[in-house]
Amino acid sequence: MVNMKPNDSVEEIAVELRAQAVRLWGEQRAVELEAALQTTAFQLWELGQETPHRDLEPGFYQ
Amino acid sequence: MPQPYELTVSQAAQQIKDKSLSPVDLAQSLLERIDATDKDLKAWVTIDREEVLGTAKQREEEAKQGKTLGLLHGVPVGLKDIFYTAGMKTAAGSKVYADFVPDFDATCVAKIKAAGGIILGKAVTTEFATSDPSPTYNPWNFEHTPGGSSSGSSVAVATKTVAAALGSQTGGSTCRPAAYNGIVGLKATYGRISRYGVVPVSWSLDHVGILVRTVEDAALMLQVMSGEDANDPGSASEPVPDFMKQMSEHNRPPRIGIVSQYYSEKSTKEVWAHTQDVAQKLAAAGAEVVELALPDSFRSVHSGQRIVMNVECAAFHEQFHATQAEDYGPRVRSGMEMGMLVPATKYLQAQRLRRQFRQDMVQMVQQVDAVMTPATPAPAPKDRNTTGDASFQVPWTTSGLPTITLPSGLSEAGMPMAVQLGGLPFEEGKLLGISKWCESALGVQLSPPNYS
Repeated sequence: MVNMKPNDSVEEIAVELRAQAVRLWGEQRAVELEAALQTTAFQLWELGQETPHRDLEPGFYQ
Repeated sequence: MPQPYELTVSQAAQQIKDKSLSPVDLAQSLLERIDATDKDLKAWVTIDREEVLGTAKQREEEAKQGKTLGLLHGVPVGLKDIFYTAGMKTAAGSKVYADFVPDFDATCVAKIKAAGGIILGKAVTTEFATSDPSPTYNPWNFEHTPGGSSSGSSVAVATKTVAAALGSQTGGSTCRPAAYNGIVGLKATYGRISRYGVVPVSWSLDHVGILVRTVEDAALMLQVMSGEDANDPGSASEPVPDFMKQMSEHNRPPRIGIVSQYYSEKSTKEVWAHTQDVAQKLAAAGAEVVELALPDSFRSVHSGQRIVMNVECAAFHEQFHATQAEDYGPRVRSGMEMGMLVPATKYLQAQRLRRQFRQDMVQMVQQVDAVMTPATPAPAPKDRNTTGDASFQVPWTTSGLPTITLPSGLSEAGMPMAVQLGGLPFEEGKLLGISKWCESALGVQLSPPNYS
């Protein structure tokens, strides 16, 4: 399970993602995925900067 | 007198209807064209010649008796190799699906057949319609990417081995390769065309795409494939209008919104100058051109799209990944692995923000008849290890709003350039009318020099 706090930095998110990748697929695969982990950490961080309106429900099928 | 393979969908359908063109001659002409070009281009992956010619013969007999099944009677159509075809391999460009033969047709394939269309074959896709490049070549210059993921469909249409082909779009996979190859690409509103029987990337983002050479053909293909489908949970119950009629009604000077914010910074100087030039030409022809501002929710749309896509892709592939991870290409594999790491709360936040973004996009588009941006930040990159940049398509795909790419000129390097027009949900008829007016005002029809 990846644990993230709302105010985590990109690097803190990347550390969490990396740790989970190691647990699931091993150290070598986690190294191979490093660029993708950094990108995903940034994407998650960027989403975390937004505050959806409290009444806003998800829209799966638009 | 053009060769049969040069005809557009509407021209071929009309000539078959008035008995001046034989469906067998048309199919034969396209098959010969494929023989002459595809060793180099690698746009096609599966062709069943006997089936094609046998069906063409049947359509010919029906036409002789004055019986036509529908708008596509006797006209061959190509399919990206992610569309289920009963009895014909659907490998999705992958090792994982290499031997998969569906036992039913995708809903849109069934609709094409019911309208008298002939399935010419399956066109090359990037692996599982994602971003590992395909073997297909860009006919404008072999050193440049043809784009993706609908690379084979786009190149096939651009080089006149078929007049219409289906693609798909989860990020930018229809409108981007259309732009890179100088043809028209249409992505209708989410829910307008059924996704049932299409190998998914991401259920809530996937759209069926249309690749053709004219706006009129886009309308015709949309007419054939639109409609509610109980088998697709994302299918919309909106009534299907007469798109050709609506296109005619809206074929007049529009009010066009241009968005400089983000698009001018992200585009190359050449692309942005070209887009401004296109806007000036349209204004000179009678369009009203105004500047629009992007909504605040735009700022996280690209991250949100990627999170949603990766998570849904991971969910679909989870079982295959557990046993065949090594059979995947590097980009599709890492994308799904990233999806496996994303917490459920973050996925749901992305879907909440996406809903807000759609509402904001509708408000923005409501200010005009259509929004125009460059189709891509740059022409097709001189790099076959990429499928290019989908960032200008992502907002339209994420919001589910309809969008179309129109060829608009050539770059200094001789590569196609294009603009993208977007409209309101389920107002494709209006968008097509505006696009037809723009197509006529610009007067640009592109054809790769070595395949003209």
